[in-house]
Amino acid sequence: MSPGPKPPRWARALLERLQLDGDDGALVGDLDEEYRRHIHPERGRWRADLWYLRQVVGSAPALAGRVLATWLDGTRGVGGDVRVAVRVLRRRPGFTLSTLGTLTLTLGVATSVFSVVHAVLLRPLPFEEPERLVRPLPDELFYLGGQDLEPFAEGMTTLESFAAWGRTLALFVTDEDAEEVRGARVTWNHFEVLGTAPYLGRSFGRDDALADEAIMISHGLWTRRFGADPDVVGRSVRLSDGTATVIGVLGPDHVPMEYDWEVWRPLPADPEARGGNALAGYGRIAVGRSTDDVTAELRRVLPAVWAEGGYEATDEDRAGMTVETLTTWLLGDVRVSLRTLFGAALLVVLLACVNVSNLVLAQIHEREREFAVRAALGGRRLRLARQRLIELLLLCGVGGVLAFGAARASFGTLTSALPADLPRLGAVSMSTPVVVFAVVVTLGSVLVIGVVPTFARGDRAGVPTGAGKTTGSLASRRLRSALVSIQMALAVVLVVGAGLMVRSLTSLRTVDPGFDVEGVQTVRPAPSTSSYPDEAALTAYYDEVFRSLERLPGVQTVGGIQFLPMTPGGWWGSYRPEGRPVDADGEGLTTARRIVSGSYFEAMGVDVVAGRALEAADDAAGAEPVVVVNQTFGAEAFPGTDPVGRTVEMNDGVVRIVGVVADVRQSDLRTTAHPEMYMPYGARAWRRMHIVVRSEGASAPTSSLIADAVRSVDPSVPLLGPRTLREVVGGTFGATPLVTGLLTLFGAVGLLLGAVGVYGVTTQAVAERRREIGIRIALGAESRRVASRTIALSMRSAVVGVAVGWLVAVTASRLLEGLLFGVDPLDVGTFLLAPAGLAFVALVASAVPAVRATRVDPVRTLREE
Amino acid sequence: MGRKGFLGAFEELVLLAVIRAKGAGYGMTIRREIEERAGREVAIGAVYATLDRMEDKGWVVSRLGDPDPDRRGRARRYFEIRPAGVQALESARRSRDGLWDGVDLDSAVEGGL
Repeated sequence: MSPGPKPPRWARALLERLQLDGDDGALVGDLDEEYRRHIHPERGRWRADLWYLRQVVGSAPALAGRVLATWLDGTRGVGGDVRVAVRVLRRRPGFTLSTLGTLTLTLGVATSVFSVVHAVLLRPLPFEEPERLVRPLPDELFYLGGQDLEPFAEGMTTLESFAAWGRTLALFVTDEDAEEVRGARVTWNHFEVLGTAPYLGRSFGRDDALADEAIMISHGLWTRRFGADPDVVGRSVRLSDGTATVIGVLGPDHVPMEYDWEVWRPLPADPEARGGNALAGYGRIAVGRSTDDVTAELRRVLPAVWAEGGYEATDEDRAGMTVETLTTWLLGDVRVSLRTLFGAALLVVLLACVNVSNLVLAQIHEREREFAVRAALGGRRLRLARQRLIELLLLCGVGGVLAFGAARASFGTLTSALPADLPRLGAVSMSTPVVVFAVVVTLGSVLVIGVVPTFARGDRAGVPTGAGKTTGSLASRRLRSALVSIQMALAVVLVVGAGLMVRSLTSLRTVDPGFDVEGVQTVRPAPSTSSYPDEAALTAYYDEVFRSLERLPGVQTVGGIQFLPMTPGGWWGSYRPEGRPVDADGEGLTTARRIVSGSYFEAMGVDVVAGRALEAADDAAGAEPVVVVNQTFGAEAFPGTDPVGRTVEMNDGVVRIVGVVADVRQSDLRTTAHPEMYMPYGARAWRRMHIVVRSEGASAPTSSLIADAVRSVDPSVPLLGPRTLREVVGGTFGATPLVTGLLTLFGAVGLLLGAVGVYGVTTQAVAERRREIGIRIALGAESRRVASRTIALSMRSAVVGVAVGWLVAVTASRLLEGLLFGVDPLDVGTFLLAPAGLAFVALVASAVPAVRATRVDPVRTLREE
Repeated sequence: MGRKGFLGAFEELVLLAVIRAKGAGYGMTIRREIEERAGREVAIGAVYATLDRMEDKGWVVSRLGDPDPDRRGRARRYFEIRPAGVQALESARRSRDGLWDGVDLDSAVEGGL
């Protein structure tokens, strides 16, 4: 049947706006129905329209008044609902406390992790268009010499501008004290290319590169050393190598190229004055060019620049010439760790929500009678739903606030556990986005927790079921079982992740670095060029330092090396083993070159495998040039034969191998050894040597005693350290211990929540079946069989969850790959143990209430009914 | 009997119309009943607002019928009286009867009509 003519649309729309609760369009329907009766067959519909309008105009005030009254009545109820909610929650302290605890813990951890993620990763770097900044040659092995800078910068047309830096140390001296800080010599355009302005004063200008007078300092140094004095700009400061004028202070947000830089001094404009400084750099990509363009040009330009200096780049060199964005270079490694942590934290929150959901579901079940009674007494469905929502909001709100407080309180602990070289660690704070995150994740929890129980609503009876207590509602029990499965699945993923990280950290800790980490302290003096201009002066200085250290009680051996394992820096050279012809393509073998002095191998505990170590006699002027090589070198240069006694041709002369030492992990514990050649200090003096001091455990001198011994030779020489070798090695672990620790915590939380879930669902199932169990036992059923049936029911959902979680973990473990060391992402042990462990925990969690149920006296149970 | 125990004049008309419809009354029939008996045009909104209020007080109860294609898919909302509604009518009638007792309209105004 066709609906026929329609009444004026706007009038109808007005009425629809004023619909009463529970009306469902009945009023509009009534008017539509009657409207047609008012249409006169001959005179048309204008009378009907008029009637309709009169009805609408007459109805609107009454309806509006009623809607308003209902609404007022509703809001008046909210305060009461909140009071009721508080009462309800207080009456169930177990439920309230466990829910609050779960929410506070997980939301707090998520908020903490997010605060770090936000500070370090999400905020853009404080540079102008940071995405256009790139770092050619991210590999430490490639660098520019002082002479190469201008030809290189001019050759790179794909870069709009290029800036370079070389590391430096500055020693601030006053009459009372001296403080050494790290920093860089930078080209005058350093801050201009970054597009960052200083906090106070000015940046370097072209003229600053002509006279070595200007210095810029970090916000931290300004606060620490100059008491945040706003008049610091223009002040002259005394440094170990002269005076400098502070021209600018950088802002607290500034991200230095290396995390511990606190001073910047201009790189001299005159290439001759730059010394042997190895320069690194970065540039701003020209508009319209890509990193691929820059890479291609780099592989053309750099070899040409090197060729000027007499070095032919090999194909291997060219392959190693890559370009990274500055963001990747500054944040690279950290990103994977933080993303993993953040993802895991969100999983934990989800798990907590499912857990609370399950508790709420149990609550609804328990309170079914309460709600049914209230519904029968005329409580509207919406109103009851509102009551439940308010309870939930109250729980999550309090949980969220507590979590926020906990996150705030745990800041110090968290930031100190993070690796110190994490960029912008100081910026971790409770900023607005963190607050927004906390609110959003809290509301998200309300949503997750609130939505799940609505699936169980369909089967809720509207009438109290009096004696019908023996059978639980099937749909709600199914839902709870499904929730347990989800909990177990999430728990498996978390536990597998934690397991992989723990195994990785363990294998990292058990790696043999090739030297003995214990009992060694290391210190690095930095004698200046002005005080120690030549090799003789340097040799004399270090000899004196060694003697001074050897005199310390407890010290066994002292040695030195220019690049200590696990510290940055390197020196490479190509070589040709004796008897091997020069390759047709001119490509030679390359080796890392190390300069060692004193009893370095003994002090480090590096085993001499064949031949002998270097001796003092090798340092003497006119001695035969000899070297010691590592095993990898031996195998590469003289495969299958004994390298001792053979000679090798270097670009600076022929050397004879007198010994072979064990391989040492040089760059970090993850990276295996390269070919290495150790030459004596007498053959080539190096300015800044790492001194290693081995001493006897108990009587080892303190670090200040070691520092004093070195300073006693020349107090004006700045010192880096002393540090223990253990600290140096530990520094290369980066974020791994923290990630492992937190993931282990998450795994434990997952395990606990999973167990609680299984326990809860079994307890409820048992409670619902009390009568049945009682009857069965009264009829002579073996209690063991009754219990095992109950356990089997609970275990079914647990095992389904474990299986699903296992599959998810198989897929997701690949995400951890970049963080793992010595462990396959699909490590068989972890993937067997984690699900087995969880299944066992589930078994125990379900067995406890199941067995307890069978101990109940059947007669009593039946009488209760 | 709740905070609004007294029965208003319009409420009384609406309640009586609900009773007369014997459970088959919905918005429009109730409205028409009052219109015909009271002899004045009554806005449907006023009827609904009153019914809705009385439902809150527990005097009437409503249920939605099946959606009707004649009404463009809108269901009818049928109203029925509840015991509390009957009581309210009774007490209203009682108090009115009490007041009517002994009243002679002919001599109410001095000098007669």
